[in-house]
Amino acid sequence: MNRLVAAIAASLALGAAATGCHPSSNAVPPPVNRPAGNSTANSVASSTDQSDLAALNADLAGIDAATQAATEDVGAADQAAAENDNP
Amino acid sequence: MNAAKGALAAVAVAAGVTAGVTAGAAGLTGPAFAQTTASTSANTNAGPGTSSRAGGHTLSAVQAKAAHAVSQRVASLNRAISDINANKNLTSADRSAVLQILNGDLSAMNTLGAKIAADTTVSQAVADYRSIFTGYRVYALALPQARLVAAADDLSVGVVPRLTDAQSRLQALLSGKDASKDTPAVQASMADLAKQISGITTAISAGSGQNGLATSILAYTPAQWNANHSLLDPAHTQIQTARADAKAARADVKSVIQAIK
Repeated sequence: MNRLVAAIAASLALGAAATGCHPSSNAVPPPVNRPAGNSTANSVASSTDQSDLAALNADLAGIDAATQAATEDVGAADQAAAENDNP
Repeated sequence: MNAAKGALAAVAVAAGVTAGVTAGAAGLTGPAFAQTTASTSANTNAGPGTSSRAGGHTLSAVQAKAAHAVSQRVASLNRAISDINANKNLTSADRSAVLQILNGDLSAMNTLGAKIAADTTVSQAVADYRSIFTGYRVYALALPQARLVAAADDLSVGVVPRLTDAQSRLQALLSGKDASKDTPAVQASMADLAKQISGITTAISAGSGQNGLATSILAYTPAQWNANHSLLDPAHTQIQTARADAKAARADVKSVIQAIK
């Protein structure tokens, strides 16, 4: 009986070693050379979309800031021009 | 520009009382010293001291008004110089030209203020006082010049490149992965975006060069403003047009982003 248990344990240990997994661990081994499927393709497309959107939103933020600066500069010009500049 | 201002101020100061007459002829009807012009001719040789009068004004009163006018302008010029230095959209050439005007006026105001404080006749003080206004036009011209050039660069440097970047990115998406979202409404927004960008570019290129509007604004002199008080109106209108175009273009970009999200 003890020999049978030892043989089974040895067999399990060999199998675990072949998959890179410790026999006492429940961790799932990482995928190695997994063929590309729909899930991977979607995640790449999603990443590109986020990048495009981030760039476009950065453009919008820059446009807003510069337009606001122009508004304030025109306001300051008007304010100065409204001052009395005659003796 | 500073040379022109300096020459104008020198003429005003050297001409003494005559500067007041010239200023009056140019349409300057401000109440403060408008009635002193004629009487200063008779008081040109008035002796020194605060009791000297011209048109009812004592030397000390003229000096006090001058000190106030100079102080106001110095404060406003310093604020504008600080703002211009902090503006990230100004081209180095425009920043340099604007600062040359503002620092030139700042230096002139300080010099003129000291000169008026040391004047010993009412007529000289009045003439110098007038040149604070007619020789520099700090409020009517110099400060609006600086701010309008800054606004033009805000649009040409801060807005247009970002609009064209967004336009390129959106066009690429609509020609590629988001082709299915290129609806007539989206196409209309993209067409309007192109039109608005063109409108901004045209407005701020008015005059000569890529940023001709700023160049034109920077070239104006106090003498030109004295002859034409609407000198800056066309530039002001161009910038307002460009600003409205920028807002419309921004709305186009936003609507296309919403459509392809």
